[in-house]
Amino acid sequence: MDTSINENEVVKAQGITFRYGDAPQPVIDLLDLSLKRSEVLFLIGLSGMGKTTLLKILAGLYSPQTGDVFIQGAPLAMLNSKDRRMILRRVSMTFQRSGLFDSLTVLENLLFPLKELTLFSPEQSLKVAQKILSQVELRGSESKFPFEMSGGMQKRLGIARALVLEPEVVFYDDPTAGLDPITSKHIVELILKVHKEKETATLIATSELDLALGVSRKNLARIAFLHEGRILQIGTAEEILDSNNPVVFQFVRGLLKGPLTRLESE
Amino acid sequence: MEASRKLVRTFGGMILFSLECLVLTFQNKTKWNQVVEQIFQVGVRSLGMTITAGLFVGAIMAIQIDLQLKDFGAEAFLGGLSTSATLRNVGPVLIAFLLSGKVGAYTSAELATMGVTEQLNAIRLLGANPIEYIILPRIWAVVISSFLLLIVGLMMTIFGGVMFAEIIGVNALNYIYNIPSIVTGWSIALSVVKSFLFGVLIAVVSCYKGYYARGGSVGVGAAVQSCSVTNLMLIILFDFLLSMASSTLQDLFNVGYL
Repeated sequence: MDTSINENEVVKAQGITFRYGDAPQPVIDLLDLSLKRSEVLFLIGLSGMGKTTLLKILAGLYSPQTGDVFIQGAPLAMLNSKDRRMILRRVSMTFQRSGLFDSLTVLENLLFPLKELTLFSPEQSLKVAQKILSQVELRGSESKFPFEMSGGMQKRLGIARALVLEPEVVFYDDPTAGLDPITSKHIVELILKVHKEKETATLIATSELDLALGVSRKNLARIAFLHEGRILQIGTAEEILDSNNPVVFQFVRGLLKGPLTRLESE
Repeated sequence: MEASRKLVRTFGGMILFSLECLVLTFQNKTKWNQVVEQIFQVGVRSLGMTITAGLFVGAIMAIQIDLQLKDFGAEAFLGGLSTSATLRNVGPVLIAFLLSGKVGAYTSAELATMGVTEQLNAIRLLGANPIEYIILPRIWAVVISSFLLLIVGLMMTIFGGVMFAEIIGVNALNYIYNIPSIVTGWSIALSVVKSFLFGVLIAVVSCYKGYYARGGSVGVGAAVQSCSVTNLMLIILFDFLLSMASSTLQDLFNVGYL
C-alpha cells in the first residue's frame, strides 16, 4: 500500500474497508484510489458494487472501518470535528436521488447554504444564486419546487447546489440515471463545462460505459473500474477497452457469459 | 438476547440524541423562527382534532362515571370525580395517543423521507449539522405544540363533561360547583406534568425514529410504525410511573412528611 501523499492528489483513499452494520462481506474492501487536481475520473462498474458507498466515504458521509481518506493531504479520521467540517467544505456531491430540499423552492435550495454557511449579505447571496442558476440554465424557475420540475431540471439544480459554495472537488453520483439520452448529454456537457470553468477535481460514478468512454476519449479523463469493493483497473478509455482482466473484458464488451454473470447467477 | 440488545441500543440512542439536542439548545443553536413555522405545521393543524377529541373524552368519562355513581345515588359528585379522573389520567393519555398518531407520525415520516431522499446527507455535505437545522426546530415545535394541545384538550374534556352532564340530566352548574371539591392542586399539577412529559416523549421518539430511518420507502414505513408503537408504549409506561410517583408523593404530603 502506497502511504505517500502526492501534492497533486486532492482526494486519496488508502486501504479503506467499509461494511454496513453486521454484513459479512464488506462493500468496499481495502480500496486505494486517488483523484488528482483538476482531473475528471469516471468510476464505473455494475450496479450494487459500491460506487455510491465509495463516493459517500470520500465525501466524509461514511467513515471507513479501516484505512483513511485524505482531502488535500489532511486525513479525515485524524481531524477533530471542526477541522473535518472545514476540510469537507471543499468537497461537494450530487446524489442519485437528487437530495434536494423538497420543502424549499429552487432559489431557496441555493440560498440555504449561502445564508447558513457564508458571511454573504442577502443581496450577495441572491447574486451568487442567480449566477449559478444562469450557469445551469434554470433562470425563470426560481419559485418552482423540486417536485414541479422534470428529472433533468432536478439534476441541474442538484449540480447548482453542489457548486454554490465553490468546492474544489465534486462527486457526481450517477448524474444521468433515469434520463433520456438527450437530457443525459446536456447534463454531461454541463458537468464538463463547470469542470472546465472552475477547474474542479471531478469524480463521476456511472453504470453507463459509453458515457465514460466518450468523455474519456475527448477530455483525457481516466476511468476506474470498481468490482466487489476494489478497483480492478484504472486508466484511459483505450487501456480499459484493451484490458485482459476477465471481469473488465466482459463488462466493456457486454458479454452474456463470463465471471460477472456467473457472479449474478450465484 | 438480540431483542434486549436492540432495546438497550434504541433507548441509549434516544437518550444520547436528546442530550445532543439539549446541548445544542443551550449553545443557543435553536432557530426559533423555524420553531414557530413548525408549530404552525404540526400544532395549529392539530387543534381541531384535539378539541373534538377532548370534548368526546370528557363526555365519555361523564357517561361512564355517571353509570357507576347512579348505583350509589351519588350523581352529585359527577363533576368532581369525572373531571379528576379525566385530568389525572384518561385525558392526558388519550390525547397524547391521538397526538402521537398525528404529530408524531407526521414528524417521523417527514424526517425519514428526508433521510432516504438524501436531504439530510445534503445538509451534512454542506458542512452543517442536520440536528441543528432540521431536528431542533421540529423537536421544540413538537414539545411546545404537544404540551399546549394537551392543555387545550384537557380543558375541552372538562367542557365536554359539562355539556354531556346537562344532556343526561345533571345540572351543569352543580357539575361545575362540584369540581373544586375533588379536583385538587395535585390533580392539576399531575396533568400539567404528564402533558409536558408526553410532549417531550412524542417529540424525542418521532424525531429519533425519523432521523435514523434507513432503506427507502420500506424504511419510512418501518420508522413510522416503530415511532407509533414506541410512543404508545412509553406513554403508558410513563403514565404508570408518574401515577405511582404522584400517589406516593401525595400520601407523604398528606401525612405531613412533605
